[in-house]
Formats: sequence, C-alpha cells, structure tokens
Amino acid sequence: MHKTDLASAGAFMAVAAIFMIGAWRFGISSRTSDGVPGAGFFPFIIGLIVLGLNSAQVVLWLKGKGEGKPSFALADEQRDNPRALFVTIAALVGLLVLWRLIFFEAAALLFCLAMNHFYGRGKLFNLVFSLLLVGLIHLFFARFLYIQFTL
Amino acid sequence: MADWLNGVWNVLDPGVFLFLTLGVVGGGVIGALPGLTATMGIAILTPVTFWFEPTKGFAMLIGLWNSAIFAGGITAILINTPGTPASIASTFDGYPLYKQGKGGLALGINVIYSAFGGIFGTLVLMFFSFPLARFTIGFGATEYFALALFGLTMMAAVSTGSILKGLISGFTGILLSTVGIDPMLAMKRFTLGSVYLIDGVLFLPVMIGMFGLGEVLNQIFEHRPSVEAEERSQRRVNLSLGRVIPNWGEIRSSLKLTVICAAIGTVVGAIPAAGGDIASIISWGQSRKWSKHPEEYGKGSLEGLAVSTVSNNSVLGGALTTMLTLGIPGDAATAVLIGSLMMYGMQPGPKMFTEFRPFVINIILLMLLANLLFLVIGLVTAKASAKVLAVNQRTVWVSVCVLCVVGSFALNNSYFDVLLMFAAGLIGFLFRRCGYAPGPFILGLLLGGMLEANLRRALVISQGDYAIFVQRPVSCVLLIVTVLTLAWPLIKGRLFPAGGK
Repeated sequence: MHKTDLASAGAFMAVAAIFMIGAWRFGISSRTSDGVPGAGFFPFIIGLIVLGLNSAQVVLWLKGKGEGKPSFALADEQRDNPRALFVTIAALVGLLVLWRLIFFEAAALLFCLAMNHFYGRGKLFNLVFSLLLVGLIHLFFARFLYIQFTL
Repeated sequence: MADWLNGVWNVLDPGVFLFLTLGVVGGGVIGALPGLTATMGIAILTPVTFWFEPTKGFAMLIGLWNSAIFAGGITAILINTPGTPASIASTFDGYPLYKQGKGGLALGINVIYSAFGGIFGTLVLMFFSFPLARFTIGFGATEYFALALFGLTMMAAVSTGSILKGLISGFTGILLSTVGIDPMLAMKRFTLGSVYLIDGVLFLPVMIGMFGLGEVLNQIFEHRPSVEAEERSQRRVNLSLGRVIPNWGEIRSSLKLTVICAAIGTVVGAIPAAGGDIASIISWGQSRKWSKHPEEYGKGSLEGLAVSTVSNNSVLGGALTTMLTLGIPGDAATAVLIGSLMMYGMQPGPKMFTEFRPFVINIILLMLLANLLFLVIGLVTAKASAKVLAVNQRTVWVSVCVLCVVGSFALNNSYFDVLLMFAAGLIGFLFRRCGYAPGPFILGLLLGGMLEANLRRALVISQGDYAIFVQRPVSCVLLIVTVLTLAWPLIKGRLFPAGGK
C-alpha cells in the first residue's frame, strides 16, 4: 500500500473512462452477422476491467484509512534529490527544445556540459566526456548508420 | 541437420561474430555497473540493431543479455551490491570470499559457472523447444487468446508485491494497445487526429522511456550519498584477488549440486515471470539443504557461489524456450526481446518455428556462442573488470539520458517518438514511485494486439459464442490456471490463515 494509491487509482480511472467514452462511440455491441463485435468492444471491456481493478484499489485504500508507504518521502541526506530530478527533467526539455532550434549534436553537447557541471564534475572531465560522448554518437549514428538528426 | 549446419555457418560469419563480441563486451560493462540492467541495455540498443540484418542485430542483443547477467555477479562479489537483480544470491558467498582474499577465485567461479548454466539452459532450449513448438502448432485463436491472458496475469502476479497493481499496470498497457487501426474492421481508434498514432503507440520508445529514462529518474530521486560513500570505501579496500581458475577438486566437489541447480534455474526460467533472482535464491537455499557443508554457506562457500551463478544464467535458456515457443516472456528482459523480434516482423510463438526456423536455430547457436565467448573474455579480464566499478553513477545517468533520446529517434527518425519516450520516462518514474511495475505495462502493450485480434477472431469462428474458450481443452486449462493465479492470494489466505506462508 502507498499513500498515493487513491490519487494513482483516480488517474488510472480517468484514463479508463476516456477510453470507454471513445469506445462507446465506435460501437460495442454492433455485431455483424459473422459475430465480430464492434471496434469499441475490446477497449470498452478492458476499460471496464481497469475501472474495476482501480475501484478495488480505492476500497483497499479506504479500508487502510489512507495509511501506507509514502511514495515521495525522502531521508535527510536525500533532500537535494528532488532538485536534481527537476534539473534533469528541465535539461531534457531544454535538449528537446534546442534540438528544434539548432542541430542535435550541439544541443546534446550543451546538455552534457550542463548536467556534468550541475553534478559537480571537474571542468576537464566534463569537457572531455561531453565531447567524447557526442562525438561517438555522431560518428556511429550520423556517419555509420546515416541517421540524420535534422528535424 | 542441414538447417543446423547452415546456422553454424551463419553465426560464424565474421560480421555476426563481431556484433556478438560487441554485445558481450557491452553487456559485461552494463552488468558490472550498478544501476544499469540487462533490460535497460536491451531496450536502448534495440533501435540501433534494427539498422542491421536480424542475425547481426540479435547477435548483439543475445551477447549483451547473457553477458550482463553474468557480469552482475562482479559487483556482487567485489562491493556486495548485485549489478543485476539476478545476481543477488551471489553476494551471499561472493563478497565473503573476496574479504577472505579469494576475490579472483570468486570471479573465476562466477564466469565459469555462469557459462556452464547458460550452456545447460541453451541445450534444454535446443532439445525441448522444437517438440514444444510442434505441440503448439495446432493452436488457434482461442488458445492464443488464453495464452496471452495467462502470460499477462503471470507477469502481473509475480513482478510486483501487489498483484492488483501489477494487473492495473498490465491492463492499462492493453488499453493503450488499442490506439491505432482496429485489427478486424480497420477503423482508426483514439488517434486524436494524429498521423503518428495511426500505427498505435509504438512500444519501442515506450520501452526505452520506461526502462531507461524512468529508471534513471528514479535512481536520481532515490540516490543516497551515504550508500555511495560506503561503496566507494569498499572499492578502495583493494584486497588481493589471488588466483582466478578453480582447481579440479573444487569443481568436482560441487559438480552434482551445480547440475541440479542448472536444471532448477532452467525450469524456473521457463515459468513466465519468474526470473534469475528467484531461481538463484531457490537454488542457493535448496543446495544449502542438500550440501555436505551447509555451515559454510553465507560465509564464503565456493559451492554456494557456484550454485547461485549457475542458476542465474541457466534461467535464460528456460525463459527463451517459453518466449520462442509460446510467445510469453519469462521476465522483463524477454518482454523487451519480444519487442525486438516484433520490430523485425516476427511474432514469437509456434509460427516462429515454421516461418522463421533458420532464425530460431541462429538464436540458439548465438546463445551457445555468447556463453563460450563471455567465458573466454570473462576469464581473461576477470581482474581488470574490477576497474569498471570506478565509473561514477552520474556519468552513467548523463549517458543514459542522451542515449535514450538518440535510441528513440533512431528507429523512425521521428521527433514524435522522442517525445513519446520522454513521456513514458516520466510515467515510468511515477510508476516506480507509486509501486506499479513497468514490466506488465510493457507486456500489455505488446500482447494487447494479439489478445484483441485472437479474442475477436475466436468470436468470429464461434459466431459470437463465448463458450468456445472453455470448449477447447488447451484454452480451458490455460484459463483455469489464469483464474487460479489471480485467486491464489485468496486461496493462500484461506489455507494458511496465520500469515499465509
């Protein structure tokens, strides 16, 4: 049991409901003469199962009075981790945005330099590692496999 | 026989051999680095292999898989931290051996018995998969439906502490597999008007996101400086490693138990969802009961280390037997391998043995060759492999993030796939934090299409009569086993009310 079980069950139920509404429109019981159920039949049934399983999850959560393992609790020594996580996610978003603006290799190089700097790696190591990683990616993917990173 | 000779010719092709070697070396590094798993390695590498012919691509994946499982034992022995979950039992005796100054011998035993287990499992695959495939050749839509359902529930039941969460994860994966063209009526479903979703939610970017990026984000969130400092201090201990090769007396004394444990590992591997961690713990526990020196177990027993390493690699042959003959994955790594085969247009299952028989033979021979190759490379580099542990975890995180982006783009040159991978990575992180295993989700996404197509095909055959699923003996048995799997916690609670153990 996790403390977040109610929230996660709610999210799964919302997804299931969206699929079920869509499935309803495609036709659930619209059988043709050969017995084929409609296009919405399978997603509706699966959506129903997901809904049912999450209802059981909600019941278990309520029976446990919301007690359980906290999903995002951290010890004192881990207090900087959320920041590291958000910086990593933000840097990845930055990489994806930069990729559209400049070419991939430059964006990847900036990502590596920024992340290594954030993680406190030495300047020389940072430069050598970033150039080596991006250089190898360029050689292998762009030169050897002819994958064009241009968007 | 001609097929086998042709297969030997194929796998001994210099190009194939080179890819296998690259896979073995890469797997050795991945397995030896705590935090990197075989599953993650295969997921990231799969799009790269697509650019080569299937035998070469699969040679790399097979090499990586086999080698990563064995190399997980290196960290288990040297820093008491299993590199992969399968090598957890190797810490019980491997680390005490290292502390006694017998680290080299422990590393040697890890290599030799892993190779022995791998070869044993592959021989089982070689001799049993073809008869099993012949038995399953008569399977129709009902059996395939029951098989897919059985595989999914087994994985959901075993992969996480909570069966309910495993099922939610798996069924949500199935739900997502319905995006795209309807398999029977060719209607567009849930595509939101996007051309990118017409082919459905592609499992490769999702796989890379969930097992690669999701895992890295979780490691960043869970990172403990004190644990890292302790590992670093253990690395600095630098005890003498001593000799690597065990003598004949040491091999002979544990021969009987290692053969038995290789068989246990193969059988456990063949059970869907039971992986190397379960096999090695069962083998270690059982052999302690049967051993002439049970008191040495856990204190640096060579036999204890041998039985745990032999079983964690023999699992692979068993898992591959189930995967190739029935299309059901034995663990998360085989679920990813199913995805790799599907990328090449092959659906694992009985048809693999008729439509792609030469390729199946190639896979079996590659498994054998991979074990022989890592035996040689592992023994030669046993002492040097300790250097891999010096790689900083943060370096790994940065590299994996970039490789996830590149890998997800490489398959279709599609920026949308990268965005999909990124979203899957975030969801994978949330899954892990909230106690949902990503394995069943991926499996649901993979098997969802098979499940739906066969369910509806069976209903066409029976003209809408659901009784068809219980009228066919194989599907009826599979459905009963599926129900029993799901009901097992309740049955266990009734049978063993005091704790249910």
